[in-house]
Amino acid sequence: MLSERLLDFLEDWCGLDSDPEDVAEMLRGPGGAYYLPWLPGELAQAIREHAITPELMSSMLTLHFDDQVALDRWLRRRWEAWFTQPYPG
Amino acid sequence: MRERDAGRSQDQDRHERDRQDRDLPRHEQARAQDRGRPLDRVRDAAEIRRRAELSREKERKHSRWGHAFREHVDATDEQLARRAAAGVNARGQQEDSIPDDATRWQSDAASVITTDRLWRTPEAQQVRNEIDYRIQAGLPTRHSFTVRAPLSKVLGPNWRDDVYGRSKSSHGLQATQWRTDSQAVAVFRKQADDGRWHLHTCYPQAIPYHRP
Repeated sequence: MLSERLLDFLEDWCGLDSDPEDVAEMLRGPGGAYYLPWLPGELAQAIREHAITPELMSSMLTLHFDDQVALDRWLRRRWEAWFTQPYPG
Repeated sequence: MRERDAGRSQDQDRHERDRQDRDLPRHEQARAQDRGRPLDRVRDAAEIRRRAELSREKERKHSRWGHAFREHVDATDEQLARRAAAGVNARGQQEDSIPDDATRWQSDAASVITTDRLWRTPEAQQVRNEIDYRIQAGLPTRHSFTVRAPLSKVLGPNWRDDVYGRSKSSHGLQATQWRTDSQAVAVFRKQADDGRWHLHTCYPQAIPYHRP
């Protein structure tokens, strides 16, 4: 079960045409005080539990992933661009 | 308490806007009076053209702020097909994911009116006021929000004339299949550079999304 704030983050920052570097910049800037206290923990849990699914990404963001492995690769690239902690998957 | 404060802040903003509007030249005053009225495709054709050109100019000047026109108005059919087939967007960037549908608005008017109406929805106003309040109060907050609405509600009964796309399932060979409940989506971001809200993207989405 993803929290409302994690769903907001995915919608606001991970959708069509989103640039992971924009998110990294936002986290280093004014958005960091809001997101950094909870985002890495909630996102790590969602990744470990495979709670972010290709079906969710398709319906929410219109992004197509062939399977969970492809989606995990995509999440990993973003995680490594955003955080210093090791990828949790 | 927070909602009351957010409401008071909204009133203060309105008074400040009214004060500024009184100092404007006459044609600018007329435009300011129209600010509270949703755009109409025929009546407001000149204003729609003006906003479209301003948006294109902003996308040229601040390419990272938004790309609504470059990707979802000015994209050619060939560019949409290429995106749906290979994930290369209209700016020539290879993306690491391919959309189910590469879509666009069929006119400046469709894009500008959709953006205007999504910006005015009660949901958008509420989240915007809350974010603005938190920023003014020095509280941590998100700086972006997404708003959705059915295309039929935003653009009226002839909305299918206003949207177009190519599907990934056909490798970009076939047009997007729209549904009666297809949606308009807009993402707005508060830019740290000027402290103002700007449209990040706005596009039609064939398969609707509803929060689980």
